[in-house]
Parts: sequence; structure tokens; C-alpha cells
Amino acid sequence: MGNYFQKLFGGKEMRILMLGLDAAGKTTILYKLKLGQPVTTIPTVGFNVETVQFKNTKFNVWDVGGQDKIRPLWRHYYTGTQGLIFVVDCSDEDRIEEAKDELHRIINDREMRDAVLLVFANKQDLPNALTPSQITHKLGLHGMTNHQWKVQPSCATTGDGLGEGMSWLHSLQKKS
Amino acid sequence: MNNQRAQDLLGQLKTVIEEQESTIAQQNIRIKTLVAEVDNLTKTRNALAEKVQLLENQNLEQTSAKKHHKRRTSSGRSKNKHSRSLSSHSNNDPDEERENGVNRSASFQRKHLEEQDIRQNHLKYELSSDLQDKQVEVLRKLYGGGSKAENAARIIQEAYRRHRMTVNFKKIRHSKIRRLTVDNVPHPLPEVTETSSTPTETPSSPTENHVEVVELVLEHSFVESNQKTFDSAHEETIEETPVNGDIASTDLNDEATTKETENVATTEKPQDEDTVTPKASDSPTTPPNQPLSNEEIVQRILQEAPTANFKKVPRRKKRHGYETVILPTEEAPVTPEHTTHALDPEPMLPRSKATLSTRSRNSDSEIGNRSHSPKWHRTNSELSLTSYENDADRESMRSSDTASISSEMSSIISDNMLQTGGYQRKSNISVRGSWHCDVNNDVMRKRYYRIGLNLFNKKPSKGLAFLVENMFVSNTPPAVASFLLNRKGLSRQMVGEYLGNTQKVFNQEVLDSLCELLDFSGMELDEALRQFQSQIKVQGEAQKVERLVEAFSQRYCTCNPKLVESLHNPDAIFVLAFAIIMLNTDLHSPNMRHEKRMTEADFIKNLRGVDNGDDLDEALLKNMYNRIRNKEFTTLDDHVTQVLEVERNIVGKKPVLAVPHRRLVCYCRLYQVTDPNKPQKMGLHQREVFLFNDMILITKILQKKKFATTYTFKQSLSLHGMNVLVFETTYYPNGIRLINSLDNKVLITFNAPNEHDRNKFVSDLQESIAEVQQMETLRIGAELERTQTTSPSESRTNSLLIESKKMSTSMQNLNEPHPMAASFSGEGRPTSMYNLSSTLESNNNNNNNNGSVVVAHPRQMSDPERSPSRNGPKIFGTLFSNTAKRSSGIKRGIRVSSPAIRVYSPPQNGPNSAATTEYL
Repeated sequence: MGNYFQKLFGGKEMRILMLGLDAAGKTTILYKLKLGQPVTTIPTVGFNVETVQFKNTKFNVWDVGGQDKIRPLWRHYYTGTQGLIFVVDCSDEDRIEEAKDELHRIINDREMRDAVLLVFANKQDLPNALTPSQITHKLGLHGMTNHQWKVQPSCATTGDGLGEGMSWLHSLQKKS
Repeated sequence: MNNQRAQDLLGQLKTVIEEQESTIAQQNIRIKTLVAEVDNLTKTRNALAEKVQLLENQNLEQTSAKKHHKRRTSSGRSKNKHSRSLSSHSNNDPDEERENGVNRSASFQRKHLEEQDIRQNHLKYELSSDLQDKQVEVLRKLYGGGSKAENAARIIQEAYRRHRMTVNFKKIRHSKIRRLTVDNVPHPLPEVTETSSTPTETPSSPTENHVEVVELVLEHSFVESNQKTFDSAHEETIEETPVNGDIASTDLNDEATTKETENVATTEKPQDEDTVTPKASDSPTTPPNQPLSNEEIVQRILQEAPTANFKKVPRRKKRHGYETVILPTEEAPVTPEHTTHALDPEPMLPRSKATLSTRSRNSDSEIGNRSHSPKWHRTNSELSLTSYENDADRESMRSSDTASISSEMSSIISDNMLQTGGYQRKSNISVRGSWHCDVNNDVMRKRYYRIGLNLFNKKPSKGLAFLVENMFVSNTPPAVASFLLNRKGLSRQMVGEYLGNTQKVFNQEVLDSLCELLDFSGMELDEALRQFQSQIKVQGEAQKVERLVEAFSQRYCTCNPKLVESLHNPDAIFVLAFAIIMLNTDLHSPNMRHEKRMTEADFIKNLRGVDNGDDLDEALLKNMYNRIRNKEFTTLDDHVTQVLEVERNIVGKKPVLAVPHRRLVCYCRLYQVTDPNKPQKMGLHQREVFLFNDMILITKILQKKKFATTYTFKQSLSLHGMNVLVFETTYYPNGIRLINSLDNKVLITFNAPNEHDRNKFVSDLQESIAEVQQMETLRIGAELERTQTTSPSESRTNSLLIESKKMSTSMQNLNEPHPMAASFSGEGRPTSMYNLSSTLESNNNNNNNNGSVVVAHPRQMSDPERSPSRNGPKIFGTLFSNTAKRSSGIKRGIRVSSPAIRVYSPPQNGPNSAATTEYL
């Protein structure tokens, strides 16, 4: 039924992978995005997968990540992924290098070559949080030419900046 | 010769006489000096006495001067009088004292100030006995009647004594616990040592008790209670003492028809040695909202604290074995300390034995036990008593078990109090005395345990820290692991959150120890994983999932060394396990589009080259895929499942109920009452009331089907700041009234179908309220500590204000649907809501045993026009006990034999025996 409406009214769907080190705020962002939308009462065992409706686009967001050993498994989801949301904990300067490695490993995967990159510079509300420009620098994004990217400062607990980030993704979706 | 001799003799005599005269003279002089000394001494003594008198007067002045100016004017006069009668200060003129008393009665408008005065007078023993009598009289007047005042005073005294005992006992117990924890003693000690030491009273006031105390004051600050004798140190008996709440004055003060009892302070003697008729509502004397100074609050706290432990006192005579069978405590008879894991030394060997034996029959006995109560069900009624027969120490078993029923507790406590206060108790009650101390402490301890669980279900690390702090679990990975694995009342979601924490080394150690407790040998990987995740919800952030799966697969490898040998890459198991979890999400998440789900081919393809470039056996993978597709991974039921079940059965608009920290305490059918003084039609406004550990949910039956009943949401009330009153009117013999303790507004009024239900419900409700209040107190305490350490400049009052603000907002938010909350809400899956029909049947059968209790009241309620001639529910109880079925048949709307209650039999709810022993 829903699918019919989707087709009728031209609703689009976009598959998004959400990545980031643990405790960066992925889950919070995911459910903040879902705010006001019906949430399944019992989450399925396994990973956080949510469909977020934004304007006329459905974002199917997968919360993925983890160590190298299991990274090959995510390939299945890389295929056809239009966007990558990468969440960085700006207050955790020690692990920013680790985050950078993680990001580059994923984004340089062959299957991800068409994906756009949205970086949430999260936890901006905390003291000593790195600024978006610092994040851009530390993640080495300036050298990234093969992907469209944007660094969006955010605060997941309040929801600040999340809407802007999604708008950006939405606008890219329209063009494509 | 003769003359000479005579002269000699005379001479001798003279000398003797002279000597004696001189000594007499000397002694006279001495006497004179001594007399002078004595005079001096008496003078100084009198002077001192005068000073003492003056000081005393000044003290009196100081206290009364605060309140009244008149006092000040009269004080001068009385001072003069005192100084005039200084030599005989102990015998003060009664007239003067009366004057004093009158002055004071005029000036002491406020209760707390009186109390202060009483204390002051008690501290000084200079007042003569008749003077004290006068004071007592005056105070009685102020309290609104002699018996009332006496009762109040006695309750205060009893409470204080009990408070002392509790404190002392806690101390003893804690020291014991500590020792045992250190020694790693898995089994409880015999109880003798502990009980013998309990009655001793030592003056001490641990801070932890103050916490509780604060809560109590909040809860019952305006409750007034009756007391029989004022100097209650050695009362003879406790009689029925229904106590008037403030409400009495507001709308229930029709004395002829209304009897309102404040259940909180009600004490009732099991065998009525001395029955005093319950007082009709007196005029309320204590303004509930009167401002108290800090000092006074503290004083009141100290005095009133333990009254809360009175809680509800059920009538013993009604118990006659019936309730002991039910064991409706959500906590179950066994406190956490009874298990080996907790290393808690609760010395009740028989009990733990009993629970061990019950564990295997939990499921069987659930329905049976539940069925004993036709209209009332506690969610954890499953703690069966089946093991009693086997136990040698039956009597003590029974007492310990009944003791743990919260509703019974207060009567037992009062028994205990009576004993220590020199009472003569009858028969077995005194035999049981040794248990009673435990009871009091048990209730507290259980409450703390539940609070620990609640905290865990909100913030796992915090909750565990609390549990460790309170000695429910020792702070070692193996202990915590078994705790997490075996205890009920922990949200499986939160257990997963805790174990999946990649930041803390301790949590990871716990996870490893936990895995060691599981055995996967000989199992297929996906089946082993299924078993693993049935205990711990593997859900959430990818890293968390990964951590859990990693620990699992390590354990799996250890259990299946042969299988691992056949692989080139030991990590293959880990990757495969992770892929299985992924597959489960992919196949069963409602957020996945159907056509995009992973196919069998995708699954195999995705795992290509996992084993160091080699592929895994394709048939094996295919089987796995099919098993996962056919049967989704689910966690076992936990308390959230029950709540979810309730939520599911409510149609239409409703708040989000299923959150990890919410636990269903009980369900009860009640009838909403609009005006207690007006009759309403039988069975009108029937409400299905669900009591959760933090809120009360009022629903109405929408539709009744054979296997499921749907409800409509009516109202939900937070338990925070709630007060429960029990009342009795001609029309509503089992009235329950919920009021907001802050502004005394009536939240809702109910009438229970029978007294038993009411007692159970009220006792559960009160315990839950106490739990909520205490949690809040703890939270505020912690918050205060935090704010003080972070910003010492901030004044205490400020932060308090902030806290209270936060509190109120959080309370407001409580019932609003929150997506975030919902996302965590349910784990576990909706398993069978207990089969209604079976419950029905069992209830029917059971009704033969105790139908009388059930029926009596409906009959009365249904006959409002006749009821004015009858005064008490008791009469009806006896009148209709034999005609239960018939009367029930006559009165439509009340179906005696039908289960007014459906049971969500709780697989767990806090530390109950079944929970704690299930995996032992």
C-alpha cells in the first residue's frame, strides 16, 4: 500500500549508511531524526535501521561500522548506497585520527564511489569541541575530490544541525 | 579512811565532770560553726536553685516568644512567681501552671512548634508531675482530642523506636554483609545470630535512613494518627485505630455515614484484645501545607520517619492461610541476598531452600497461585509456596514469607514493636518475633534492590554502581556476570547496552565472564547465537553488536574446538556470527523494503572468502539462512515484555508505556467514584487499573474477547508525590483515594470490589510510591552532590529549586510519547499474554475457597438504599459469606466467580525467588 503511494506521488528513497566510531552519537542522531515519526516499539535484533522521512524523500539509514574483520560484510550494503553520514565526536580529540582512518577506508571502497559524504561534527555543545573547520582539516577532507562532501556542525541531543544536514542530502538527491 | 576515800572519789568525779563539761563546751562551739556552715550552704543552694528556675523560664520564653507576643508579657510575671517560690520550685502552684498552659494554648498555633516544646520539656526533668499533666492536657486540646493526641504520640514513639531498631539492625546487617562479601560465602548463615542481636538499641543515625525519612515526611506529612495512651512507652495493646486524614474535613465529614481511615498509620491488632471503635472523622488539626523551618523538619523527620513503615496493616484474621499462599509480593519472598551470586548473607536458609525447589515449577505453579486471588493479582504471584510441606521449619518459613508481603509487613512490624515495648503477644506471633526485624529491613532492602534495578534499566552503569554500593552484588566481573545473567527485573536491552560498552574494560571483563557461564558445545553457530541473544539483546550500535558477537564467538570456539580446527581462520566464526546478526536485521527489520532484503544467494556471496580466502560450506550457510528467515531472533521475556503487552492491548491514543525501566506491579479492577457521598450504580465506571513501578494507568475495557481484552486509555498518573488514602462510606466500603501530596488535590477516587483487593492494591501502591519517592530523593541527593562539587558557589537552595523544577518537568514528560524512549522500549517479544480462559477457570475453582471475602462487598455496594442501616463491611462479610454465589448471581456487573483480573504473570519483577534461582 505504502509502496503504491510512493510510486504515485514520486516519493524517493535514498539509502544511507551511517558510520562513525562508537559513542560518536550515531544512535542519538538516528533517533533524533526519527523524532515525531512512528517508531517500531521493538527494534529488531541486530543493527539500527530506520527509515527517516524527510520532505518527500525516504532515507533508509543503516547504522554500520566496526573493525576491519567484518568490514567486508558491509559491502552488501555499500552497493547502491547514495550517501554516507559520518559522525565525529568533536570533543574526543584523541580518537580523531582513528576516525579519519575509518572514514577513508570506507569512502575509498570501490562500491562507495558514487556516494556523497555528510560529516556531522557532533557534540558541538561540549566544551573544547573541535570546530567544523578543524574537523575538516583533521579528517583530511580538503584532499577529497572524488566525493561531494559537507561538514555540518551538530548537537545530537538537541537536534541542532541535523535538519540542515538532511536538507543538504535531500538537495543532492533532487539533482541526481 | 572512808571519808578520805569518799573525798578521793569526789575529786575524781569532779575532774571527770570538768573534763566532760569542757568537751561539751567544745562540741557546742563546733556545732555552732557547723550550723553556720549549713546556713551558708543552704543559701548557696537556694541561690543556685533560683538560677536554674530562671534559666528554665527563659527557655520557655524563648520558644513561646517566637510565636506570640502575649507570651512575652506574661513571662515576666511568671518569672517573678518562679523566683518567689524558688526554694520549693518543684512544687509549683498549679494555678500558675494552668495559666501558663492557657497562655501557651493560645499561642501555640502550630503543631510543629508544640512538638518542639514537648521535646524541650522532656529534656528537662524539672517539671513536676502535675505540671506535666497540665501540659499534656493542653497539648491534647491542641491536637484535637485526648485519644487522638495519645495515638499520635504513641505512634511517634513507636515509630521512633522502630526507627532506632531499623538503624541498628541495618548496621549489624551491613557489617555482616560486608564480611560475607569479602569472604565470598555463597550460602546464608543460620539466622540465629542475627536475630538475637537485633533488639539491642544503639543510638545512631546513619545517613541512609534520613533519606528514607525525608520521603516519608513528604508522603505523610499531614497524616494524623490516633494513639491510645500518651505516655506510650509501655502500652498494653494496639487497637484498631483508623486515623483521619485531612480529607475528612473537606468532603467526608459527615460523621453519621462517613468513616474515613487513614491507612498509613492504621495499626490493627490481629487478635482484638482491646477493641476501640474507630473514630469518626474529627476536625483536622494539622494544616498540611504549613511551612516548617529546617530544624523542625529535621525533628519531625526523626520522629515520623518510621511511621511510613507502618504502611497498610491488613487484618490478620482475614488472612487465615489464604494470603500466605498467594505471596503476592512483586519481590517475592526471597530478597536478592539469598542467592549465591549476590553473596548477600541474608540468613534465611530455609527460604532459599524453598525457592530453589520452586524454581523448576515456576511456570506450572504460576497459574495455580494466581488463581487463589480471584480479583487481585500481583504480577509476581508465581513465587509458589509449594515447598512448604518439605520444610521442617514451616512456621518460620511462613512467617518469613508472609513477612515479605509488603501488605503484611506493617502488622508484623507492629507486632515486633509491641514485643520490644514489653507487650504480651499471643501464641505464635511472639514465636515469630525473631523474623520481624528482617521484615522491616527486608522491605527496605527490597526497595533498594528495586531501585537499583530501576536505575540499571535507565542507566546500566549507574544502576550497577548502586547495586554494588548497596551490597547486592560484589564488584567482580564473575559476580556481576552471573547477576546480569540470572536476575530478573533487568531489561535485556539494557544488559546488552551494558555489556556492549566498548569504553569500559570492566564491562568487557563482565561480558567475558558471562560468556563463560554459557555452554554452546555441539550447537550450530546460529542456534548458539540464538541462545546467546535470547539472554542479552544484541541490538544497537554496530560497535556494540560487534563487541557482543566477538565475545560470543570466542566462547563458541572454546566450546567447539573441533570445529575451529577445521577452519583456516579462527576469525571466520566471528565474521559468520556477525553476518548472521546482520542477516537477521535485514530479513526482519520492518524498515527494510521487502524487495531489498537479502537473498540466500546474497548471503552466501557476502561470505565468500571468509575463511582465509576459502568459502564456508554452502549447505551450512543455506541452512543457517533458512533458519534465520523462518524464525527471527528474539530475546526472552523480561519485565518490558509485560508492559508491552499491556500497551498493545490499549487501543487508540495512549502514552508510550514500554520503556526499559517500567515494570508492571499489579493489575486491579476498581470502580471510579465521582462523589464518595453519593451512591452510584453498581458496576458503573469500571476501570482496569494497571500499577507500574512509576505510574498508574487507568483504562476502561473496550472489548472483551475470548483471548484478549482491549482497553481504552483513560488516564495515567505519576506515582511521584502521590498519596493514598483509604476511606469507607456507606456506599463505598472499600474506597481508595489518590491525592497529590503537594497540593492535596484529589487525583482520583476509586472503590475496590472487596477489601482484600483494596488492601493488596493499596499496599502495592504504597510500596511503589515509596520506591518512587526514594528514587527521587536519591537522585536529588546525587544531583546536589554533583552541583555542589562542580559549582560550590551555587547556593543549596538554588540548586534545590532547579532540581524541583527539573523534577516537575520530568514528571510532565513522563506520559508523553517519546520516540527515543520508544526506540528502546521493547525488547523481547510478545509472548502469550496469559491465557485468559485458563485464568478464568482457575479463578472459578479457587473461588470456592475464598468466595466469601469477595462477595460480601459487592452485595453491599449494590444495595445503597439498604446500606445506611448497616455500618460496616464486616457485617456483610459474615452475612453473605455463605451465599457468595447466589448474591453474585443476583448482582449483575459483579461477577464473583469471574476473574476480575487477568494476570500478566511476570516472568520477573525484581528480586523474587523464581528470578534469582532460575539459573542456579
